[in-house]
Amino acid sequence: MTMKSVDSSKGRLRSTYIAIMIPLGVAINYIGGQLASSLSLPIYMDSIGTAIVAAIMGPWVGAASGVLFNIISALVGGNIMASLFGICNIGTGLIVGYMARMGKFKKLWPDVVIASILVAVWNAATGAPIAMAVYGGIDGNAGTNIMIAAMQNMGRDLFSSAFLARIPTNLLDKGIACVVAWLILSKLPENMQNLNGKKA
Amino acid sequence: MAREVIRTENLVHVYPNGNVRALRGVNMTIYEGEIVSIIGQNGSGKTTIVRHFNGLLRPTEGKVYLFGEDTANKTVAQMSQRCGYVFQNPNHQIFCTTVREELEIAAKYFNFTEEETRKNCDEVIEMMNLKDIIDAHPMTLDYTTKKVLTIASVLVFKPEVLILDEPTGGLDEVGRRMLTNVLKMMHDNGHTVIIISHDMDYVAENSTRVIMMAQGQVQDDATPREIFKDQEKLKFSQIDPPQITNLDFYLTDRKEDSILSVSEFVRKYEK
Amino acid sequence: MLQTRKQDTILQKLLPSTKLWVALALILAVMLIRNYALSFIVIGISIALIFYEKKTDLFKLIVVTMVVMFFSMYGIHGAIAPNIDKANDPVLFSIFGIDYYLNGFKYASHYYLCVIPLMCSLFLLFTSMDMADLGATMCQMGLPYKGVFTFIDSFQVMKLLGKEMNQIRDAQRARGLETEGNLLARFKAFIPIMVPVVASSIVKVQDQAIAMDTKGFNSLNKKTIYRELIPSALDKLIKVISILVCVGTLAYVILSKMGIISPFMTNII
Repeated sequence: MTMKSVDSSKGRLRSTYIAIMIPLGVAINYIGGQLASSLSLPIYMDSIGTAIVAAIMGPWVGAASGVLFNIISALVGGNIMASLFGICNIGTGLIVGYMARMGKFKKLWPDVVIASILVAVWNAATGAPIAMAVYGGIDGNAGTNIMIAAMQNMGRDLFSSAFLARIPTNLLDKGIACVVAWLILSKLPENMQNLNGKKA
Repeated sequence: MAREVIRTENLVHVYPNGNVRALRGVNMTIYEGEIVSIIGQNGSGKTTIVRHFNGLLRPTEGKVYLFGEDTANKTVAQMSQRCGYVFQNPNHQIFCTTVREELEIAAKYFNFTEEETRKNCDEVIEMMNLKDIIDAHPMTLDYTTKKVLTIASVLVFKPEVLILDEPTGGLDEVGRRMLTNVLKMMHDNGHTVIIISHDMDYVAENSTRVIMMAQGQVQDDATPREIFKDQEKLKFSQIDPPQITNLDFYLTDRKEDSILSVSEFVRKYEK
Repeated sequence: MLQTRKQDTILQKLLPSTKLWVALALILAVMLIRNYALSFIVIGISIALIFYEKKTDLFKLIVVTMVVMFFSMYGIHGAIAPNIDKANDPVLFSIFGIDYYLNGFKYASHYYLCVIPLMCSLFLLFTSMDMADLGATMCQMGLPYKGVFTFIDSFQVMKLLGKEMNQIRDAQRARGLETEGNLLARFKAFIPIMVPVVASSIVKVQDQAIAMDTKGFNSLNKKTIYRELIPSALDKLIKVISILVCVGTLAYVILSKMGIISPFMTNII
């Protein structure tokens, strides 16, 4: 008896794959952050899972994974309002997912670099108003806060300072996370790089 | 007198989470050229003790010496270069995109020259019969081949001590024979092999010495024949001897020596 | 009953549905009313319960975040918050030539004393919850089974992947990978550890999907739950109080905004 190869692209089996991959994306985000912290790296690296799941399963599954990660880490950390930063992660998932779907997440230059820049700008643009609403502009990120304070001292208003200060930190953090996600994906065998089936 | 390779003095290890006292003052010496199997139930301290040999764990009390040097100030990388460790799950060590890259990576970490790396890789590829899959993606290989690959990737940097954690788990017959060849090669070259295993048949046939552990302490330390003779100690350590040994015990009242293999059994009962 | 769960303390005995109601009540009360006294009461009770529940080890990480946030928010907003009128506002004190204003601290407190009580209380509520019970509760509330599964499974996978990562890090270190040293060396250690973590998980996905399918994951029949969640008298009492707090908070906010009642819970300073 021969085994039919499993098609993850449609039907109820796709929903099973989604139910497995979303928690996996959440866990990879979490592990990325833990590993970065244990290696004493100055960045969070907690969007790698969102990008990987978006590239493998599609933009909306990646986005869902990102949002769920923010909700869970907010619940576990107790800072419920931090779950609003899930909006930033939605963008990460959609940008990487759609670029992967168009075949534009295979080469470092220019594809992944463009994805990193887009993700960084999106995260800065959405992160600033959320930080304003939740924390009044200053959150627990020391690097960003110092830049915000410096810009305010130079006469800028709080909102634009919060936005501009987040661009370099997000380029570094989310941008590098995109590159790392691409590197990890490039090391997987072809059949594991895309479980989207014909929808890719 | 063979050179001392590893020595532990009153080694105590307490895991920080849950305060588990995994090792309770272990004194152990391993010599060059031995094939030592460390056996015991889960939780007996086998894995804990061997992880001290390459620095992955550090003593809570006591000392560990590697080739006569105190390991307290040595890094894991320094110790691992002389004391290679092959983990039980090959998926935990594989991360390159081709078999050749996987073989070369450890040598690169240890700053081998290009020439040395290539030479060592070629030797290992020949010995472990990996020529046909040299460009394959390691993650697409079957379990046995992955396991053989992880052993090969450690042999590339020619450690003087090789630690194998459950090496026969999931291996088919071809893999087991390959492993036996590796043990023989290490032994012939005067190097040392330490095996952690639940596979008593394999332990009996391939070890020169067996250390039996239970409750964080060494219960017995002798040749395989001596170890599998002592039924009481085996019972205390919750270890079942090889099946052929057990069969012999049921069939005879005289327990001077234990039978370790089918061929020995046939020779004994043919008389 | 097929399951056993740790239920040594009162908090552990409460059902997840009760804790969800308490969480909602706290979120509404703290966020909408923004009263300092209420915030401090919530902080005090939460910390006392954290010690009682012996969750201090986990709480240490939260404390670090709270301290960093304190110095960031008050240190920066105290001096340059948007509501400060440097010409007229009273200066509380100066440090290294930087003036700190009362209005700046008020601005910082408006946010800090909203975030911190919720961090303490929700951390306690969610870490004392049994995840399987939470899943059963969410299904009973009518949420779709696959969504609940995905949510609860995330906690499980996070724990498992964490253990795998430690194993993989040891395995790579045993092959000479340096995880200490300068920033570049530590950064270079990231990929050799993350790739096996991700790859070994993705390798299992297909088998997992087949296993789940053979166990009826995609069955169209209504799922039954084997967990019995029987509310105690305390559960019912706390639930009623929480609902009253939610309704009361919303009523207070709406009526005081409409001018029907005076906003008696405004802060004195």
